[in-house]
Amino acid sequence: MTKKHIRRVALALLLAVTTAAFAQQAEDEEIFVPTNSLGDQTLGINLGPFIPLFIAGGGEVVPWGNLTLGGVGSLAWGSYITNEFKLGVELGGSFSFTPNRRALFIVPLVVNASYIFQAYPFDFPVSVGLGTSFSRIDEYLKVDPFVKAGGSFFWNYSTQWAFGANLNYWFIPQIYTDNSEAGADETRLGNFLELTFSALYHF
Amino acid sequence: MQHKKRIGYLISAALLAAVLAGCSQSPFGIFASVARERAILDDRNLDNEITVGAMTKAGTKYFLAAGALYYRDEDNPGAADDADKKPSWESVPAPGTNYTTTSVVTVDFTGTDERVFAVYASADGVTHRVYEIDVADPKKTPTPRFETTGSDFALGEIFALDDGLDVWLVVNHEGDATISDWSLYGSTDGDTFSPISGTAANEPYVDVVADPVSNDVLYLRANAVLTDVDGVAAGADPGDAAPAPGLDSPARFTGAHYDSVGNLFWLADNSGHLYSAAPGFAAWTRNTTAYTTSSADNAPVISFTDFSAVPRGAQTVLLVGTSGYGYRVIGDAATATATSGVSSPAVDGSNYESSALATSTVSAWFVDPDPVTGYPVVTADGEQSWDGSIVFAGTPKQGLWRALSSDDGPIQWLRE
Repeated sequence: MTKKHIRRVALALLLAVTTAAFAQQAEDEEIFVPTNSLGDQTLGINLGPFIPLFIAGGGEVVPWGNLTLGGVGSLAWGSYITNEFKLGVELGGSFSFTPNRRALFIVPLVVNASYIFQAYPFDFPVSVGLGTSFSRIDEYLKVDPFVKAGGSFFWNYSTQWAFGANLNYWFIPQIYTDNSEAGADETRLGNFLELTFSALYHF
Repeated sequence: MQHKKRIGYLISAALLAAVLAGCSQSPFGIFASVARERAILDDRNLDNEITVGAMTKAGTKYFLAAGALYYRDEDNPGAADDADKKPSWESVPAPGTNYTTTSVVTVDFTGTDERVFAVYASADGVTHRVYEIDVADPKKTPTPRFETTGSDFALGEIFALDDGLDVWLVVNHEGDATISDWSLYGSTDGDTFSPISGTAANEPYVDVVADPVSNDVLYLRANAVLTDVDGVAAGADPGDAAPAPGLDSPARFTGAHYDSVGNLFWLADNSGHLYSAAPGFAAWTRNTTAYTTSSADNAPVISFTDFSAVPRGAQTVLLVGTSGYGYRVIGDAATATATSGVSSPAVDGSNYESSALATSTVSAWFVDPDPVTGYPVVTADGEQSWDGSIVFAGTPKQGLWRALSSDDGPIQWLRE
C-alpha cells in the first residue's frame, strides 16, 4: 500500500466517522412531540373580559345587552379520550353591570367537548359546551340552559404547562313560562362573548 | 375512595348552595329587566340615604321634612341645560340644637297666603313645637306657634285640610290627661290651637282628610275610622264610622286619601286591603282578597302605606305606596274603586324596575300638579320638553325620588 492509498483510506474513514457522528447528533436533536392518551387529564384556569353582545326577545334586540364590559373566569377540568379529543367540565363565573350599576352574575356549569388541532408546540382546540347557568341580579336568581362554542390557542411551554387564550360565544335562552311569576313574555335570549387567557396544566 | 367521592359531592353541593343562597324567584325576567333598564339620574344634592317624612310646596319652593327641614326652588325654565343653575336643596335652620322634624305641611288659611308649618321635637323628647317657616326667606329661624313641654306630652304628625267651611292646621297631641291620651288640636289661623272635640283616643291619628264640597271629614287611626259629615268644628262631633270599613284584626290602617276626581274617600291597610267610600260614608267597598306582591303561591301580602293622585294627561292616576315593594297603580281615579285591582307600574321603557324605589317603602308622596311647563328637563332618555305634573316619592333611608308624569311615554324616576 502506497502512501497515496493510505491517505485515501484515512480520509474515507474520517469522512465516515464524521458523517456517523453528525447523523447521531441529528438523531439526538429530533423534536419530541408529546402525545395524549386516554386518561391523561388537564386542569385549566381562565380569566379575561366578558363581552355582552346582545339580548334578544320581546320584539327587540338590545345591543350590548344594555350591559357594560365585564369580567369572566373559570376552572376547567378535562380528560383526553384520544390524542385529539377531550371531554371536560367547567365551572365559570361572569359579571357585568347595568346602567344603574346593578351587577349581573352568570355562573355556568358546563360539560365541554373539544377537538384539538395540533401543530406542535401549538394546539388549537375547538370546543362546544352544554350545561346550566345561574343568572343572578339583586336577590333574584334564574336557572337556564347554557350553550357555548368557540376556539382556543395554546402554546405548550413544557410537557406539563401550556398557555393560551380562548374565544367563546355564550348562548343563554332565558325561558319563562306562562305559569312562572314573571310570565312568558319575559323570555329573552342572552348572547355573550368570553375572551379569556389560560394556563393549562397536564397531569 | 368512597370518602373522596363524598367530599366531592359535598363540595359540589356547597358550591351550588352558595350560588343559590339568598335568592328568590324573580317577579320579572332577569335579562328582560336588564335589557329595558334606563339610567337613573341623580341631579340634585340631597343625600340619597335620608328618611323622608313629608313634603310640601309653597309658592315656588319645595319643603322637605327629613330629620332636618330642607327647601329648594322649583325648577326654572332653561335651568336644566346648566347643572350649575339647577335649584339645589338647602337647610332651614333648626329652631334648637338637635331638633328634628318629620312632618311639614302648607296651609292657606285665607286663600291668598300659603304658610308652611313643621313640627319639631327636641332630641330628649321633652319639647315638641309646631313652627312656622318663613316662606319668603327660609333661612330665617322658624317661629314657634304651638308647643307642649314635659315628658308626658308630645306632638305628632300634622295635617292640612279644607273641610269646605274652614281651612285647618291639625296637630296630633299627646298628654291631655293620662299617658297615651291622644287627641287632635286644630287651628284656623296658625296662631291659636284648640282641641277638636270627639277626637280623644289612646293612639295617634295616622291621617285626616276632608272633602270640601260635602264637608265630610275622615279621621284615621291605626285601629279606627272616625267620620264627621259636617266639618271639623260645626255640628256633631266625629264618631266611629258606621258602617265600619271592616278592618280584619290584627291589621292596621295605614293611610287615607280623599280624591276629588272620583269623589271617593280611600283607606289602606297593612294587610293588602284597600277601602273606598263615597262622601256620606253610607257604604264601604273593600277588596275581599288581599293584594299580594305577586301571583306566586304564598307571595307576601302587600302592606300599603298612603295614596297619591297624579295628573297624567287627561287622566288622574291613583297610586298607592307599599311597605318594601315600591308602589302600585290603582288606575284612573275617575272610575277606580277599592275593588278595581292594583298593578305594578309599567316597566317597558321605564327605569322604575331597576331603581331602589321599587324595593323601598314609599312613606310620603307629594304631587306638584302645576310646575312650570314647557321647559326642557333632563330625563334618563335625554332632554325633553315637559308639560306634565311632577310626583315626588319619599322613602325611609332611600331618599327622595322625582318623576315626570305626562300622557305619553313611560315614567322615568330621578333621584333628588
